Amino acid sequence: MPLTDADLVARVLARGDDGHAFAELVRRNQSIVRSLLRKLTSGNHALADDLAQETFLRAYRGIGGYAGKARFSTWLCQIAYHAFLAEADRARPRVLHDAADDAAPPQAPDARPILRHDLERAFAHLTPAERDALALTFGQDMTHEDAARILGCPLGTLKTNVARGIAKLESRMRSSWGPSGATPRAAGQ
Amino acid sequence: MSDLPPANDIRALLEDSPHIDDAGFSDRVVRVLPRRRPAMASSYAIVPAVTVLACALAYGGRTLGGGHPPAAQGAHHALSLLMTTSFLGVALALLLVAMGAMLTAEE
Repeated sequence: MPLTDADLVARVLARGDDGHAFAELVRRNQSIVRSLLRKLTSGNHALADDLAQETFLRAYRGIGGYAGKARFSTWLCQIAYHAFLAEADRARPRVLHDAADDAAPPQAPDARPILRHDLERAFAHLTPAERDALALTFGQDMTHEDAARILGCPLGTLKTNVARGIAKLESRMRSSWGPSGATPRAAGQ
Repeated sequence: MSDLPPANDIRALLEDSPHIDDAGFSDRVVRVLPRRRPAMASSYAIVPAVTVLACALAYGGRTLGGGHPPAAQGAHHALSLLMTTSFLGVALALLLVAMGAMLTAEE
């Protein structure tokens, strides 16, 4: 029977860790953490990976503080969010969104990766509250209650920010992609 | 302006978080982890041992010290016995916890 995240955490705590148990936790959760940070950084993948590394380092140092009440991935997302906030404070007024990442990704046969890239970039046009609410609520397999707790806001506020954020993203995406959803490149050809 | 195809729906796109390929990320993280000091099995026994020793010394000192009137001495001994028993109980509990932790660590 495969070990759960909680089993692996217990191994890290009990054995002083030989590295294997924590490495497995990183492998299992890297995608969810990096995906969250890519949204928070509006598609700055390099910065998102730096912050993801910082997140796992913090998690390793503070793993004794994981109470096991929430899922391990939720706990990691909370650490990732705080790492992002710290970086945002440090970087202000430098913009977190890296211009180098503005270049469109290579043309792919499937339009969805391009759409996702544009969507990540569109996060830069949201307010911080809307951006954080959307980043934590979608694609992280996290309940609205958990997201509201991490953000430190009431559930109603979170839902309002989600609705506003989606409306803004939709408007942004429509203006750059057109009503039919055709890619700008395809439309121009 | 109201009909983006379903595949382009913003909610679906947000929800659809594709797995990000590890591409060496986990290895890079593991390489920079600080080394943990291995837990010393002997450290688990230090607290209970010191507690038992302190209790024994305290009880022995009271018993040998004497000098009180018989009634007061009796009450004093009863109180000391009660406290010592309590301390020993706590020490025994700690010892059992430590043994459990050691057994778990050796699995």
